[in-house]
Amino acid sequence: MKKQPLSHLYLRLKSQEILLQKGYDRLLCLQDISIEPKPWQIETALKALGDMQGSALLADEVGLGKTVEAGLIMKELIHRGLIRSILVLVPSPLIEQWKAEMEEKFSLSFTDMRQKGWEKQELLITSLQYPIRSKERKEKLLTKTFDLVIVDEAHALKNHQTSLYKFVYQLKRKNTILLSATPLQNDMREIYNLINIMKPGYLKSRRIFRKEYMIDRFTPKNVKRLKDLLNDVMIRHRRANTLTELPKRSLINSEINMDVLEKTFYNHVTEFCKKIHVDYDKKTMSIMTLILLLKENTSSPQAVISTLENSILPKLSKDDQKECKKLITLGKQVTVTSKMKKMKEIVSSSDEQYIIYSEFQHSIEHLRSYLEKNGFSVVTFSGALNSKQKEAVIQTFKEGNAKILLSTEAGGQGINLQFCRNLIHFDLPWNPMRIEQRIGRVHRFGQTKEVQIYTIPTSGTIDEYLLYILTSKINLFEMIVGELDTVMSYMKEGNETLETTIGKILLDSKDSKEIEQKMKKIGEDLVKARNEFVETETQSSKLLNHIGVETHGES
Amino acid sequence: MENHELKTYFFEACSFLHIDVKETNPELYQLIFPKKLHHVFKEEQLNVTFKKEYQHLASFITTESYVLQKIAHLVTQQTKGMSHAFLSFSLDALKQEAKQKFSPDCTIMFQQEKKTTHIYLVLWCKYTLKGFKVEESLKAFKYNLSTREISPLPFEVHELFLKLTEAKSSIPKIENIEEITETMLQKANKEGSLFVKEKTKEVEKELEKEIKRIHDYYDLLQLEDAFAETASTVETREEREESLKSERYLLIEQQKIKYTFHEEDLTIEPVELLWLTEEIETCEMIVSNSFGTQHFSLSGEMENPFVCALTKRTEGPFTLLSDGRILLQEKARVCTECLHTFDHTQMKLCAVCDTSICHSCAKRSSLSQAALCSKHVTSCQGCRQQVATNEIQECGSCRDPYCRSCLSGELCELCFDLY
Repeated sequence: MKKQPLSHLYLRLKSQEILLQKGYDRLLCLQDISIEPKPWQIETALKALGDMQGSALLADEVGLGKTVEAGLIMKELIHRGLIRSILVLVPSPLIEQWKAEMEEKFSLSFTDMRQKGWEKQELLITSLQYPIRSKERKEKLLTKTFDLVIVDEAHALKNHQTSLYKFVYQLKRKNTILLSATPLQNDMREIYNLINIMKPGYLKSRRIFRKEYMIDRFTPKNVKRLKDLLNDVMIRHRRANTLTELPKRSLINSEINMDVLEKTFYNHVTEFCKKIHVDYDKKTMSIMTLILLLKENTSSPQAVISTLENSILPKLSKDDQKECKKLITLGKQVTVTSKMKKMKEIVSSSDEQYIIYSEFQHSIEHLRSYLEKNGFSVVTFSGALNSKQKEAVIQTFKEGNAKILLSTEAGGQGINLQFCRNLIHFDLPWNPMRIEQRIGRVHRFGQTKEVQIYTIPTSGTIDEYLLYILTSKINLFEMIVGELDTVMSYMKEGNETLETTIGKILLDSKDSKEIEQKMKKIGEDLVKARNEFVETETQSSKLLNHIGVETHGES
Repeated sequence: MENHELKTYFFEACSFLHIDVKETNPELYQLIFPKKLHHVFKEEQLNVTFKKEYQHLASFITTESYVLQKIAHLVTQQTKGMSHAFLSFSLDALKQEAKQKFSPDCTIMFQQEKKTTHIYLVLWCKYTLKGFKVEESLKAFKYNLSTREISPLPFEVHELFLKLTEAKSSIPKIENIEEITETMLQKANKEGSLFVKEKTKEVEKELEKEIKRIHDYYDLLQLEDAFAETASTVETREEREESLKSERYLLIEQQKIKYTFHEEDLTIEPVELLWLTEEIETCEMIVSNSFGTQHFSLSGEMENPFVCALTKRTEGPFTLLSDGRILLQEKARVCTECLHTFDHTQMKLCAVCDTSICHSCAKRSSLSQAALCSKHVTSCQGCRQQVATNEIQECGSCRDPYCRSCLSGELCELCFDLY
């Protein structure tokens, strides 16, 4: 063995000592994640893991990144080899976003319980209601012991008499993390119920809690003692204390009218989809394919043509194939749409850089060639690129070597583009969470300028209705980051996604009046959810502030 | 780790990794990474500070900070070798100490001085125990190449390295090094169960607290059920009781799983080796004074061999007692009767003259039980018991000495009868 100087051995041993883990004095997972957590997020994770020993109620105000805090806790426990099985329960509209966020930020791949073979997976995610809708699923989950159970938007557990509450209470688990910006609304017992699910008996029995800490439903007593008790199991940060206010974001709507050819194609595609929906059974023609086609119809004829040629045409009868081919020929005549022209107009209006989002690869490719022909420098970002190529594209754009970044949904997640402030939704996802994710790439920590969000809705199409709901009803484009998640959690949980609901409205409605009416109903539901959330948040803050639940980590 | 230690370590580690450190102002340093580390730090340069107030300008270095952890990790990843250290347990310091610490009435002599050399292989192992949290510790064992004995190395890293010097000679080829390290690892594994027990004990309180919470809660629920005004049917009551029982059991089991460390959750990883030549000087120390002589075995590895037998203090000055013990001089007393030395707890004061007398020499008054020196003890003419001289009165008639209990008036019993 080679002889080494004694000073080297000393250095190595000191290094070993420095690397020793003793409790939770630091997060070791930071080198394995692709985000730089905020100081209060790190502090929350350390407190939840250390002092609170893995079970905590994370009650930060909306927009401070409770999901990141939960991700940090999970990743740290996994990194240290302390846990293997995790069950994440979230409101159903948030499943996709949660999965994507965990994958991109923490490299944690969760299996949706709707997938086959979920029983064999260790990292599971599902909606709050899904497990209890089937006795078999419920039983399967209740036989397992999870190392960690996470419940997002945990205010759903405020009533201990619901079957959801009873189910979560029965889940065998070593650690429990509950996330809610509104852990109580207008009854002190709600917070008791949340904490009792996490640590049964920590606040004694319901009866004693009522006697010791409540004057009435809204008014606490023995506030000092209650505050001390809550501070040992609950972490709450407030926006005002974390200096996280981001610059404003504003919406610029540039409504367009289609020309005759475009309109004809658009209407023919819609009618064709309706016809196929009625004439073919679901096995031959899945409703999801038709919804995809309808969505593409709001983007570009090129996207529609691709789906018609590849996914629809081969499954059609001879007569319908003729019809379909006619449609394809018609679409091919539409080379430059009114939307593209408007987009060109927008990007020409200033010397600044622009990010243009579309859900569809064929739209992106067509846009690229159109923009390049018009003298713009363009880079394209999509899920088809490998990580090195992705990095190179972002670097080119960041260094100012391209004016425009064209991106599919794959670019809508996991990358940081806060150096740019202009974002164009070439088409509008029917899932508001996706819209929020796109905006989140530029409207995030590090953004110093006002963010300008451009939409190009086409008059008389579903775009128009959708945008009306998102702007006039819930004011999506001016929401605080993360607020939409919570609003969505207040929506009554149905069996299908908003995307599918909108698709079905288009397919099943007789005329535009019926579409308008049904879309109005969606709008009303969203308004109801938002109002409920706003009211709850106000009440919750009022009560928690009265009790004086500590605001940690003022930075 | 104190801030100055951290700073020293950081600069040494940077130099070891060929990272240039430039002081840009007294509290800010610029690290310039060599090319091979660019991918690790994802940059070529980095500003660092050891003061929190400057963290808005540079990465704040603490033991937990990302940069320091990364650097520490890189240091441990460098190609390993084996160091050869010399550990000398010389008597020089002890001899000097003896001369300084004993009072001038003592004569110190050293005899039979000799040197013994042992060759050891030292192995540091990292213990990692994973339960509901991770507990890690660094432990070292030394293997005596002559006797094949393995014993724990009783020094912390920093403490040990203060004693070590670089040995100039090369390390001889060890044929069976793998076998030796394997034996040492077996010893480390045996010590592992102690480590697990120690850590389990540390979390036992937590577990007890959690179990108590669950028991208290379910006891309360059962009590509340028993006094519930709306009495449920017998069946539902039974069902409820059963479900509470099973919930209570399951919750407690979950806590037990969470808060228990198992031996199989312990991993022991060998991390560093050291070839150690240990030289120990020993001698016989003879301490003598007018009260006696005592022999002590001294070894260079002894720490604080001179300790007051009474107070356990080590700073001296010491003297030698007649019974051969070392004592702080201020605590030693001479018996005025036998002229031997004792510690002060073994002494009494004469109730009459306050002179020091040892337990053996002290007499006791049968009247007051007070200690007395031989000068102040006398016997009562009446009861013939020992009493203090100041407890005696003379009979008004015969002038014989009597104690207070035998002489109730002015005359002794005999004279009283005659009278």
